Amino acid sequence: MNRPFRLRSTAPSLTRVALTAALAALPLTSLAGCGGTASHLAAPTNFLELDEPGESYAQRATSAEGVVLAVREVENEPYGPLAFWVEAIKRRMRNVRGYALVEERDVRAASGEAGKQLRFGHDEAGGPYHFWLTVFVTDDYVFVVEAGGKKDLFETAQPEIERALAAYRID
Amino acid sequence: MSETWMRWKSSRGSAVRGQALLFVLALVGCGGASAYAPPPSGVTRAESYGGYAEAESAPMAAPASMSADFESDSVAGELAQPDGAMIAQAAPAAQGAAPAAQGAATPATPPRAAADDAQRGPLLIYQATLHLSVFEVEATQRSVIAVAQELGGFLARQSDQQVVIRVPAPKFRDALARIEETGDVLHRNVEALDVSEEFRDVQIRLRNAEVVRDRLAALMAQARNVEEALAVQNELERITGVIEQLKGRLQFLGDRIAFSTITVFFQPAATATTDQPDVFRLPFPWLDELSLRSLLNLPYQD
Repeated sequence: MNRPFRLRSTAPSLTRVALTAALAALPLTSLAGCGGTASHLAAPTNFLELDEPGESYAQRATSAEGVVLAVREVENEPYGPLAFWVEAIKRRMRNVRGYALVEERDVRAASGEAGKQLRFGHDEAGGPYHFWLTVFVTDDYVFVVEAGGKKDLFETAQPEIERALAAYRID
Repeated sequence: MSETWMRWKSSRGSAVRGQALLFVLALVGCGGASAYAPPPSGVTRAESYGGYAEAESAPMAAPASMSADFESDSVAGELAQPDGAMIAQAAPAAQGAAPAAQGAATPATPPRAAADDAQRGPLLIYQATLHLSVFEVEATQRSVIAVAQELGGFLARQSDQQVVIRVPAPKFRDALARIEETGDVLHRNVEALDVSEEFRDVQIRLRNAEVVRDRLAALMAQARNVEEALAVQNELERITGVIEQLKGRLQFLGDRIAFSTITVFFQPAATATTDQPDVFRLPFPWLDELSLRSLLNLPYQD
């Protein structure tokens, strides 16, 4: 059985140790270097991507009017399948926060992963807001793409948001 | 009672008369409880109202759908007159918010007739509590009120987070189904409270009290002096108060039977009442962070 990364020598040289450490660190630095992202959401044209998305988000972009798109990447540990996380999110949003589940759609990322889109609605500060959560699951991560904003503004930006979501890729 | 009175009149001394009067008054004071009779043996109890005869409470799956199936409207149906008028009065006086639609359900039959009808089967008070999501609350409240008015009911109470409607009992199922279409139902609780025993008990107590009142009135007419007249008068006043209370209770029960109450909360059940345990929480903090507030609260950029 081939084990390509195993060092054959029992007496590793300094170069080998350094190389091994570098290889081990590579995935971490690549994640950290681009804000910990293991996926990519191309912000719509009229959206500005924030350099500092906040500690809970891998990416965040906003329109001038306040419609916001963001990506949350959470380690899937212990592992849960898509159905588990979708149900957990649904229950949390409805039963605890009182969000209305307006619609539920099966979606697929541009990179091929199957996902689920939960379209919620909620009144905030006296007005209705939309809040979409699009969930993808891999062996390592749970990806939640969030999109939200005041209802009328969100609906204006909805075509752009849908295009961005359709183009979302998991690396 | 007249025999008692004659015996009392011909009794030998005032002490005996006093004791006899006390005995009569004590009997009257019981409100006729000794005359209580169980419901007629011929009364047959209707089958469960499609599962609603027992309390039903459950979180709703999404999308909301009404899982309970009404098998029969017969119980509530008995409460309606052939022309659709209800057996009991519509709204209590305190419910000043009752719209004109309420008039359509004004009783055509007095409470006594209702009571007679009541002998046929169980008398059930239907009430439901729905928790709807907090989305477009104003519009949803308008829809709920419209449902009540279209079905011959009325608005009983309204606030930012709650609306209470009353609908004719035969329309209870229809009203629930239509309300559930107006929003995302997070939780539903439906109860059918059997008040047959209480209703019949109050009826019997009322009849007995009325008989006692009539006898006291007869005693009053035959009082020989002021002292006797005052004693009877006092008891007459007390029994009249009891009669009014019993009539009020019958009226209240009749109203609750005729019009079901549906309370719609616009908040999760977990936060609506303090006596409900919080929902199960998975041990993943990021689930708690999911909210519009978190998403829209943008950090300052350096």
